[in-house]
Amino acid sequence: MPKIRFSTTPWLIAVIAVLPGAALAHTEVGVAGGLLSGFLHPMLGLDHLVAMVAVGLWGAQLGAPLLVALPITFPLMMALGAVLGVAGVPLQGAEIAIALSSIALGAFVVLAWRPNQTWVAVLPVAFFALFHGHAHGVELPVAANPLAYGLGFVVATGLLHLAGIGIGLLNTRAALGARVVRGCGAAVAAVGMTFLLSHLTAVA
Amino acid sequence: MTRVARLRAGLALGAVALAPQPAAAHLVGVEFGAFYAGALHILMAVDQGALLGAFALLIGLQSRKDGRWALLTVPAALFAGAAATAVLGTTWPGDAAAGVATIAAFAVLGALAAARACLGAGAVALAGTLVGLVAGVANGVAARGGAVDPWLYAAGVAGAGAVALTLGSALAVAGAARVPVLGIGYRVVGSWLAAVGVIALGLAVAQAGG
Repeated sequence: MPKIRFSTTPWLIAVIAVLPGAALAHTEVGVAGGLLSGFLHPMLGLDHLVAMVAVGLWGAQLGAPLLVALPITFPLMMALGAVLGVAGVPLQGAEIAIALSSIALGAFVVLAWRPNQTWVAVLPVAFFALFHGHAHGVELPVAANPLAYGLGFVVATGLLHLAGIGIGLLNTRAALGARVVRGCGAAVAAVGMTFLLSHLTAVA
Repeated sequence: MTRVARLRAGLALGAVALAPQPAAAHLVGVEFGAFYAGALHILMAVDQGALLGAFALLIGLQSRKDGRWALLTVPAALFAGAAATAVLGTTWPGDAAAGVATIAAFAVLGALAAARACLGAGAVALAGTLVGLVAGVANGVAARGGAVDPWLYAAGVAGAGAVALTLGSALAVAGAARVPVLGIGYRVVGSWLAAVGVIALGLAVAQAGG
């Protein structure tokens, strides 16, 4: 009769897999809940995430003073858009505008577009930030601590800009840096195009 | 002393040392309890930290000569605001109104820092007075009702607020002087604070409206 061999490893994995975890059925409230909720909001939407990174990428390509002006403009205009969303002021075609923001900002990075005037670069960023803020504003959790939510939301946005700036600094500091940055811009535009087609298909 | 006597003395000392005493986890039994309550109140609140932080950043972007005026006006205004609210015990402003005023104040200060506004000595002194009054009243609201000595409480608020602002602004000024690129960082953080203030105000108003 053949001898049956038992290995403890599969059993151990099975036991760990069926261990009960803590149920998270409720929205977290209070300062910690508001902070977490606000921080995750821009991170969990790919269309928002790539556009915010693209702002940093383009700012790094353009250098001072737009390296600072773009990451300052975006959160301020996004906050105004969020207030419009909270107040229930409608912005038509917000989702399409958000997809277009990724396409446009990605294209600016791919083309390494350098506007002659500062305001020419600030204007599209401010315009698109309004729609990003509005989209978040209409989904703001009513139970969240307002200050903590705002703090998490803005810090996450700022960190995404910083991530873009960090990648964008490769533009002048690495042999293939400019190509890598442009490649990232192309990826951002491709994500935007995917979202645009998805929205247009849904509308049709 | 014999060995037995030494053992008895040691046991007696040990018993005295281990005798249970009343727990003193709170400062209610201390005459200065109200002072510490005021000091902790301003240091532990997120909105108060944001207000003092935004003002410290703005001072960091001013000249040293102009910035010093804030260190004179803020403690006096903090004490005046906290003492007036706690002593008079008026029903206005309520907790919500005081919180909204604090958020609005740091949003404006953050926007000024983002714009790298050069205020001048007079405007720094005026801003310091307004910031101190807003923060003082917001902290004084918690001491209404006579549970704590309002004068000691106000002294705690003013003392801790003054120390926090002095250290924060000194760090900001020294940092900008040694590492000029930090000035850019102050402007970015200022814009973040302004944006946080705008979002928080919008959400607070929406929540108040149901």
